[in-house]
Amino acid sequence: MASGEKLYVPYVMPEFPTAGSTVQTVLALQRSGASLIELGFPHSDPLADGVVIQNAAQTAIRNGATLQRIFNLVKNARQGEGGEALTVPLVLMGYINPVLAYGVEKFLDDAAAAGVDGFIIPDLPPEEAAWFRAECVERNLSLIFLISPVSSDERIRKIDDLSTDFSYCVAVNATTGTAKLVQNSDNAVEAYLERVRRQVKKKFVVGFGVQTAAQAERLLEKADGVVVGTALLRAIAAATSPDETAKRAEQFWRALQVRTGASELEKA
Amino acid sequence: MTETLTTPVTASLATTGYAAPDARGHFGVYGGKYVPETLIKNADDLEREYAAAKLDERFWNEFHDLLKHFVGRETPLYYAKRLSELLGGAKIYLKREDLCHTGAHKINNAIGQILLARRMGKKRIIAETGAGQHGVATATVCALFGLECVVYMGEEDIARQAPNVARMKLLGADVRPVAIGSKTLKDATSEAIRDWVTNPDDTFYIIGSVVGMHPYPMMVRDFQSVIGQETKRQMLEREGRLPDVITACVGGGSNAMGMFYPFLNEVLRRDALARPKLVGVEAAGEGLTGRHAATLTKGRPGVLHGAMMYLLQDDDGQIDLAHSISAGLDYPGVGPEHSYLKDLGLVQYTSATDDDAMTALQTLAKTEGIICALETAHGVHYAIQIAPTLSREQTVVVCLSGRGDKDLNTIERYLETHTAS
Repeated sequence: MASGEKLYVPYVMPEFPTAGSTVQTVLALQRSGASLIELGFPHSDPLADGVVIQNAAQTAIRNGATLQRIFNLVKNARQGEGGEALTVPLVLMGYINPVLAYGVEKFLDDAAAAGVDGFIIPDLPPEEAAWFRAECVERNLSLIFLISPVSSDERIRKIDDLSTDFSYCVAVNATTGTAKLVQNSDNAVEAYLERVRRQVKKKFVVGFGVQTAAQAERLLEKADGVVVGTALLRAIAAATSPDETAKRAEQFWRALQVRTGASELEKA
Repeated sequence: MTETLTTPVTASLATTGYAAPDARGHFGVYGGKYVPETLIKNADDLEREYAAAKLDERFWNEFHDLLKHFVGRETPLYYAKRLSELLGGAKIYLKREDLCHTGAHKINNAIGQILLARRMGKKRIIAETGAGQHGVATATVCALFGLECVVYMGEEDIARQAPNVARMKLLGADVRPVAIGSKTLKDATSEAIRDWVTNPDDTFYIIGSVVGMHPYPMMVRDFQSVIGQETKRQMLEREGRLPDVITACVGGGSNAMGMFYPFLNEVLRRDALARPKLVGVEAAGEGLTGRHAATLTKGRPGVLHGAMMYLLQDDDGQIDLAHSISAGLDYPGVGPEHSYLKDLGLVQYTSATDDDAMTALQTLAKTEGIICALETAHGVHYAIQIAPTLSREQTVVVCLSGRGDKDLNTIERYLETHTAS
């Protein structure tokens, strides 16, 4: 990640909506400009997620997206299909219980071997994460903690310190895919991101409720990167084949980056 | 009785006394605050406020005043003479939580939490409910204090607990059906937590059992421990000694925790002969090889709804669907403190099937004129099993956690399909 460059981060659920689509889809996202891939791993009871990601998780579970399978898919993407290989960083995002069931050390070893670069675990806040973070650091894996609008300044500094590379700002108090951000016209998000900027030393990305290129552009004024998940999952939800899944993902992501990228050019 | 006090942890606890959770909300490895960042502030605020309230005499005075005059405490410890004689063994006593206002022990906790909500200036109350008893208790205290009330309830539970849905609505609550996942208590709880994530400023979440992130398991236990404190006093008055066996049903486990907690030091410190045996009864549903909700009996530790606890889950860590004929026990997790007490061996956990519970419910109704809740009937089943194996000088206390009016539809349907037995 070159410093100064903004991070464009898609979140996708593996094997959603079609089984066998994951490798093609992450490669398509890389091709269309993604700087980092956030790959979900599904849980039956995702507390921080809205209904779109809840349903996507159910589909992924039905399509066989176990951690073992996901590690194999990441390995395949890293090795390349037809000469094209995944070279951008990839972090896994999901809940702690599947990790515990898999076994924490085996999870981290297998993830590292597959070519995973780090993790975002929303229900593992700093309070409960000391042991997990130590195991990550030992293996040179990243651990990214969340910051929320209700996090105090002191807590933001602590999270910034504990996040190994960058932190993830939850844009609004809501589950993923909320419409709150759309309704927000009082610059509360900007004020919050400015507050975060004053506290942190490392980078931070922002996500939760980012649905349009205009919103992404607006948030990139204040943050180092933007995560788009629910809107991307909506765009690919009707695909009926792996090819179509990858194609729809690519179209969506290219459009998002071109629109935000184009306005960057105008400003320059 | 199994000798469990030889392990180092319980041996040291016998000297220091039982003290859990630790400062960070852990019961051994269980409990904790496994919640998204958006909820950390709420959990911390609540923890601070409860710590302050705990030292505030006026808080407890108001709590006990409401328990006395609004809830109708203390509840009787009733000697079930005909049932005891029928079984021909130990004397069975029933701690009559079913006589609490709103018909179950759930109101004890709802009173405690609404007082905290008011202290914190919160205007909107949310709750989850399974059987509807906690929903009714929460709707009741919201009416009492004039606060907005939203109750999340699974669609399946709305269908099987219709009378409680009607009561909640009459009390002014907004009952929101939950159509995702199991459509029962697990997903109602997830939806309530998502509501709290979305409304962290003005909303107070009244959790109905000893589950969820710290400080809930500790706080709900403290509010419910009035059950065990009264029982201890009443038993010493009636029999001059502690009970030999104390039993209660366990779903999330709040009535059991409230009953057992005041006896834990007696279990730790007394010698084996004078020690009460504490037994939690889970729902074995259709049987332990079929669909059930016997989390401590058959589950493995994991994280759900903000805490580490025993869970019914598959090999991939996805949460299994629980099943019990009683909506209140139909939960794939169990309180972190129960998980800890199981590992320590201080409480024993067993299970009763749907059929066991239904038979026990009928036996109690016909011998004592008390129709208990289907949840409660699981504990009654254990008492019926154990009493004949004990002497007439010994005593068994059952926490009669709730009344059965809400279950009449389920009971009728069951009896129609099981007429052969």
